Amino acid sequence: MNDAELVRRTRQGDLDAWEALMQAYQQPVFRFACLLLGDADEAEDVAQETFIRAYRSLASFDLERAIRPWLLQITANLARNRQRSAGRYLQALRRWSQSEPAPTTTLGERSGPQWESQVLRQAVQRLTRTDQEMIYLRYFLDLSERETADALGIAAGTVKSRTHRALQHLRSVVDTDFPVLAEERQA
Amino acid sequence: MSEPRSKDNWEQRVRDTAKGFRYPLTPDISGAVRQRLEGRTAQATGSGRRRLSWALVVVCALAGLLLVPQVRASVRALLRIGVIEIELPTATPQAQFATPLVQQPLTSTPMLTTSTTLALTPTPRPTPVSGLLALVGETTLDAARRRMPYPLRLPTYPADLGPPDRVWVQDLDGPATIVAWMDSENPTRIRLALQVLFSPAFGRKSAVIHLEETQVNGRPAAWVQGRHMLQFERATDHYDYDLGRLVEGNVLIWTDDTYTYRLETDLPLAEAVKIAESLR
Repeated sequence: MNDAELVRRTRQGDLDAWEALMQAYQQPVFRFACLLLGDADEAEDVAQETFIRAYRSLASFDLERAIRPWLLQITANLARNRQRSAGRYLQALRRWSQSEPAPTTTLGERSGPQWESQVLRQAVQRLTRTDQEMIYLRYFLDLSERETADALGIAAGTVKSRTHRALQHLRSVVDTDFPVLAEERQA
Repeated sequence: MSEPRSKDNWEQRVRDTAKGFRYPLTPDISGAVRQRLEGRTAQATGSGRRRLSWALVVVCALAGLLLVPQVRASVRALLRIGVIEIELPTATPQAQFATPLVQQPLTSTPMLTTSTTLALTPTPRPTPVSGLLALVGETTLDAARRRMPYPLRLPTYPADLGPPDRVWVQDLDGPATIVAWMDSENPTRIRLALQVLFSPAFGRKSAVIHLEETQVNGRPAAWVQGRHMLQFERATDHYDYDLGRLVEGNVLIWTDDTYTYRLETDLPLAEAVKIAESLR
């Protein structure tokens, strides 16, 4: 059963259909929220709220539209709102009190793909919110240009130029603050 | 290495590096949401319980900070309704606007310059239409409905209101719709204007003289009377600037599950609430 049919059934009150849609998309929604918020608990809240909001808006959802970018659009907006709320201060306080010393790692551990990807995310966090969303959607979540445009509510034709600018900004941050990522991998 | 090849390499490097990112295990979001939709649980559980205990810690920490006079003086009282933050009025009857306005989407006044002091009065005046002519993004109601992420509801009271005469959609880091009904007896004036805002738009009202907390559909709302400043933050790829204007008249601000609404009117509060509660 495709997404459009699941949405139609949900509109008729079939919660099993909605649950099937959620199971299909909860991972990218949750992961996007994790990338934006940096906290799994906050991301879980935002992910739940994404599906609650989406469910309440299904009556006006355009069935010709892909559902994944729409869900990610809601996630991005809720994450922004979350960061403006008092909750971010509580989270900062929690992180401060739970902060652990940086793990001692060997040189080998600090050069693996997982470590590099975490450093990359730290670099992305230095960018503007718009650039962050672009980088996360295109490269971390691997959305197409079309889906990215849909998720960000922008014209498809501007995704390429905005992506290019975001990559340039990221490169500047990396060159300045994360030189280890700027080094070309040896073949 | 030529410039284009370097660009492609960097993009590929980012793509390859991002693939190695390890995410936390995805929890059972679908099950939790289903429970909420069926009414079996009231709210999100992910961080709710932990948030309560940390709230107590923050309250204690803030109480200690507020013992410092300098801290107390610097804390401005704020009321937040949806995406609109309102600085609570002070005892000062006049306001001095030190920051020149950059842009006035719905302006009814000339642009202010530095150190202009206004004698503020609570008398509401309808917004002249001349300000709207400078507003970008005029469109049709159908087009606005397609742009907004959730259904766009409009007032059905008063009974003779009808569909809006003018519609705009603007980019405030997310689509924002403004609908206006013109005064049939004075076509140069707006009878009613409704702004529909969606996160991540973020606006701030300052230099507020009169603020009253009220309710719309049982939810907290704010009623602002008299001239005050309204500014929106917006960050784009091209520039960051504040959209600011001087608002005259009365404004009712409220939210529902989806949007934050601003109703600009010269009607009294009771009528404004009736209009707000008539949205369908």
